[in-house]
Amino acid sequence: MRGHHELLRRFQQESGREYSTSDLVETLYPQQWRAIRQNQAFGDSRAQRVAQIEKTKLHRKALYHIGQLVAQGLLTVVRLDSHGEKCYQVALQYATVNSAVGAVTIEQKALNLPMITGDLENGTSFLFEQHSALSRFEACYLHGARLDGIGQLLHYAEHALRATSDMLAIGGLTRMLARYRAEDLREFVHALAMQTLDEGRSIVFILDVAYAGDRALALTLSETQPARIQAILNCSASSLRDPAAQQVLEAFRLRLGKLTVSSTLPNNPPVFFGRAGPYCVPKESWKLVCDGQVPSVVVSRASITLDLSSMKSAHANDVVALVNRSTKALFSMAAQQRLAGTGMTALENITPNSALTIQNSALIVRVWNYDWESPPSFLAQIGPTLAAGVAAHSHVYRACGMPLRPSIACSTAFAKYHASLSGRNYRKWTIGSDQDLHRPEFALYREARARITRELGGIDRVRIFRTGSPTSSQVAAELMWLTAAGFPLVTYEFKAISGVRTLKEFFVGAQ
Amino acid sequence: MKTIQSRSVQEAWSHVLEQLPLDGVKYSDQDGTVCREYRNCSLSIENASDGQALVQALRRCLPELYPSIEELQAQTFSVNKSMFEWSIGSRLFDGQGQIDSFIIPMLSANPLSRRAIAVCYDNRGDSNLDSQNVPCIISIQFRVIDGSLDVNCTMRSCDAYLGLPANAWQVQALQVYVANKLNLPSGNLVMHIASLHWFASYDQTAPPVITAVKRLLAANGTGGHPAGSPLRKLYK
Repeated sequence: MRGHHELLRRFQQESGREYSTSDLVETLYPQQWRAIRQNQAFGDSRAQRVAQIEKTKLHRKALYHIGQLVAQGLLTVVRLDSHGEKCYQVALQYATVNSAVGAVTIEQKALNLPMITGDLENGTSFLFEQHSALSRFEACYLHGARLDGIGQLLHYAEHALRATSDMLAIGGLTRMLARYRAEDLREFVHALAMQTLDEGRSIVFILDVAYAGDRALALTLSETQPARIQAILNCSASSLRDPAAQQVLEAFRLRLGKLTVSSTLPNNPPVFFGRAGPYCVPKESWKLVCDGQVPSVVVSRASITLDLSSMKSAHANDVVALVNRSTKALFSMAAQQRLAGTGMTALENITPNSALTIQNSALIVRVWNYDWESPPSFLAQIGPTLAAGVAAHSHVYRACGMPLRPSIACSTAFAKYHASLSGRNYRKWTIGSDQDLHRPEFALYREARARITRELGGIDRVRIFRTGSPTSSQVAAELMWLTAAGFPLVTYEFKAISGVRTLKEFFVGAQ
Repeated sequence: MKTIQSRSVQEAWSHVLEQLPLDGVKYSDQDGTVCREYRNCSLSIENASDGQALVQALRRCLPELYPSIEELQAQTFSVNKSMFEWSIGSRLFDGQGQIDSFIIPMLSANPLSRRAIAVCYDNRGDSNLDSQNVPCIISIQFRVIDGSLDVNCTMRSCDAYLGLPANAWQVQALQVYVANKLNLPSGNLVMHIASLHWFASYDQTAPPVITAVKRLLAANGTGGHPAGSPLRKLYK
């Protein structure tokens, strides 16, 4: 039966992961499912009710096919998800199933990382979406500079998203958007939002506020507020002085209550962040997209997060050993991804030269819950240990005639990375006016963060809580100062952290 | 010119690692790395089927640093261009493919031919001032001699400690592939290496690994492809 066949094909593509009933409904009835999700997300209350009824009907139809595969022993129910939907997984390691349409062979590819099994079990190391590590990359970047228009951009984004598990960044739009009307942009955002509804993937636009088209898209995003599409405003000091840019800042402050700015120069690789943490497009990949050799690149293949809260009093040698194990695990993940052909089907739709798209992608070691005020001494050893691991791996593979360019970046993690990460035990920053930024305490904070970022050899995002009702020009001036102070990626939240209202209270609390 | 004759890959590897650090010519390469080398070394191996055990032992002793047999197999046979910057597989098997559409038909039609040569080096991309990763194996010649399939491979460079076992495995795997297609047994494997080298930094780091590898091989017994190995599966 065709239904069986479609399901089997889907399991064949990503045999190691869990599928919710909704994922399988989408596989079987993509058009109807899209219409239902559209009505659920954007329709009026009547349309939403009708969509719910239709969804139930589709679930019932799909469960007929799913139930048969479960009865045959091909699928097994692994758990109920947070909505009470059953999640399924392939039950057999290897199976060839004959259906009326043809034979499908499913081979379960599971990530095998024996070197960090203990670290994963005792909560020292965490993997981002382990189940999809062999089918998708963590983060990709799509460069719009040479694309024809938003139609092609949408088409490419759709494919790039299929190869992504965390974040797809879209940048380099420059003058492309200027020729579109606000309605076109709204429709474009709407169509993109549909792509992000399932499987937890998100999109971030890196928008240069110096361009009218980028500003228009930023305003559209602040207006429509799609759940899984964000914007990073790339600002130079001069563009922040522009009233048109300040209008965008004001719209973000009032409508979204937060904004994120980056301060990368047009020739430098963009920075962005996803659920896992910050990302930076590797320099070699950036050169490829700027030269027009490929429109999209893989930014990060996979990452491992080290939860340092439990290692405060650990001996430096133990931490170095942990970093070495993580390095080996990341190289092993990369090797397993190569053999599994991770993400290739999707990326080949964008570029015929998919090897270029992947070859400079980074593996990332992230650190979580380090104390920026009194950082442990071993923090400085993480960067050099990773560099030594990369050099050794590169040397051995080169000697064996395996042309690879392995690289491991070091960065910080976000709490959303994994539900089991330890609770944050470092302090966040709240300011009430621009004067707070010039206090000696903030200078210490700035130096500490810059030093740690330098020692880790990666990038970091700074999140600052801003109380009061600043004007757009005040916000612009503060952001200008912050980006000039060496923070490449700053998120401004226009609210106070509960319990810490002012800078004074913040420091009094620290004593 | 140096000529080494041995019965197996493991014997050749042991012999080279014992002698090269002592009597190799000392020189500094383009990166300023000091090494010792045999220039124009001919390494003749009677039976290279023990190469897989050596690669596996090295991987056990250098866990996750040394490539797995699956990766070497992909590099040697896969035409998937996204896996590596380039692969011997894509150069020998992609499209019409040199092995399947030339070597095998050539030796099937004319077993005494001396023209069955496959070239891994591609001057269109490799002869480029910016190219850093170019194949070490330049060409492979297959000949039927005394009813078995011999292989001669030409290499521009080979790291004696880490590269030799992997390169020998790759060439031997290709030899087995062609031999099976021709229904012939595998014969000698000869590697002509312009620079077979040993880096000075290995003086400190390599001896414990080499000792561990030899101990592991001695404990496990050597030679042949273990039943169920990927290579066996591939050619079954």
